[in-house]
Amino acid sequence: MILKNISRRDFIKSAFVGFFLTKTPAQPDFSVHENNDFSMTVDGDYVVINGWILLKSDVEIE
Amino acid sequence: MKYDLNTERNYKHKKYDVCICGAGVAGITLAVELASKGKKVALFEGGAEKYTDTSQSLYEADSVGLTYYGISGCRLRYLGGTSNHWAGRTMLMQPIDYVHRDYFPLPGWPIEKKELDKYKDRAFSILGLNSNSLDAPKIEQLRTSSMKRVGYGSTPPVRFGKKYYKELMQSKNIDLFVNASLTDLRLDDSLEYVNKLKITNYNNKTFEFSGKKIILAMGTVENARLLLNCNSQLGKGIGNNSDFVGRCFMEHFQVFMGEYSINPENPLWSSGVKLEFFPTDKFALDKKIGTSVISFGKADSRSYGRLKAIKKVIKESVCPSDTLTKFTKNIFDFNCPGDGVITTLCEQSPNKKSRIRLSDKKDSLGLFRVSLDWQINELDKRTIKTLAIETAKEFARLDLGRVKLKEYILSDEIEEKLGAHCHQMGTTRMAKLEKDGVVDMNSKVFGVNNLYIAGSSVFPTGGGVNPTLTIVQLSLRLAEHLS
Repeated sequence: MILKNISRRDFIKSAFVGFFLTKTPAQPDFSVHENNDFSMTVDGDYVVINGWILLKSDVEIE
Repeated sequence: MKYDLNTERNYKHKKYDVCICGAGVAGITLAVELASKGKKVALFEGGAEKYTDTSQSLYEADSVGLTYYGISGCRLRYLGGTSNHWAGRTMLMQPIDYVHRDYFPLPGWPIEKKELDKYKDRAFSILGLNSNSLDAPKIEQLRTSSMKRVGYGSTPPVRFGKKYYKELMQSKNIDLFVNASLTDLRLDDSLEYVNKLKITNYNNKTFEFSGKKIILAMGTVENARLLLNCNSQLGKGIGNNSDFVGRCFMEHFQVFMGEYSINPENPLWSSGVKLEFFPTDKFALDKKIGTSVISFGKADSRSYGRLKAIKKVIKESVCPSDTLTKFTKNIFDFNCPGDGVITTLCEQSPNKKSRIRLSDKKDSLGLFRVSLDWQINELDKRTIKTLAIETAKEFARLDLGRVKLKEYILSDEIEEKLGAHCHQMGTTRMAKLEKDGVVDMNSKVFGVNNLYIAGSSVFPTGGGVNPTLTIVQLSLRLAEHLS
């Protein structure tokens, strides 16, 4: 499963990417990792990814 | 008139209309109200007018269940009691708190909401609240089917010892005794009437007092501890026919549910409104869970959001208790990435296994100390998990931002991550029937005709609300009943 096209809304992208990558947005030198494992479940209109409760429209999963 | 029992030589015995043991929020409220209605009141405070280690050390206790830092340090043992470090936040019990919830392990409040609403205005006045202090601002965009806004009062905290000092000294109807610890209650031959109180000073000299009515207002732990210690005439202690004294110790769970990132385009964040959720009655009843205030502490790079206010209160309260400082170390050390943290003031359901017992250690006055076995049940875990998930969903649905829940919320490891709010409740619970509690609907101890209990130890459920306002309302109600 690959997570792609994370919502273009910046606050979701930056926060989600920041937490997802285990560095915080406050730290300026966080790096992007690829092919991370993540857990995902679908709960009605919501998607739970690594503890994040997102709307289905926030992400695309391939 | 004030008497210091450590040094008093000239006191002449009187019989009082009411003897009140404990000069905290409940005890002082009762003394002042009853005196104003012409009753002759003796008010006994185990500590002095100011903090002393000698007095505070009598609160030392063990904790054997869930990690609980506050068994000693949450409480203060001097004039004014725990109001001396009250943070000033308060709230009314919600309508759901008076509804019979059959999924709770034990019956809830046996009185209706209107019984306490009668005393709301007077209680507001005592706590320095305005009549609209607890009106929740109506924000249409925050209206959901599962969450609502509730009204919080936040006031410069009332230190009851200071506020009422002059009145206690000058009232012709109040005799205040300090350094005066209740160490025994003696029953008459019927075993249904308290005819003597034994009050002991720090030189271990004991004085005898009597009153037509006796009120225990020493706090959740001490009210139960005293009743259990009074076991020379009744083997299980006074008021303990149903084996409820000391049981159903409740707190409000403080849980760090997760972190959040805000949607800066949502106008709520620039409006100055403080965001808090509370489950609607329908949601809680449909899901068969308890309730909780859910707070969103906004962090900044320097002060970690809501924690800044907490740290400020702690610094300024000059709390002398080292245990409380240790208890809050977690807060000082906490670091928050993102925009803020989500925390709770979560209801604990009444649980017979969550209890205080007498330990085998004695204090300097000869009373057995207590051992707290604080427990959580499956209903409480489900409450926390359900509210966390629903909060995160509503946060996203309202486009306030997005929430990342802590892993332990979604697993079964919540027990290790629980904190508490120093809201100790429930150890002499109120009930309609003796089989379900310790005191009746008028706070009278079952089986003892002239013994009453005041304070949060009588709460049969704690709701998701700060307890101080309810303590004052109940005290005013009891004063009226005894008048």
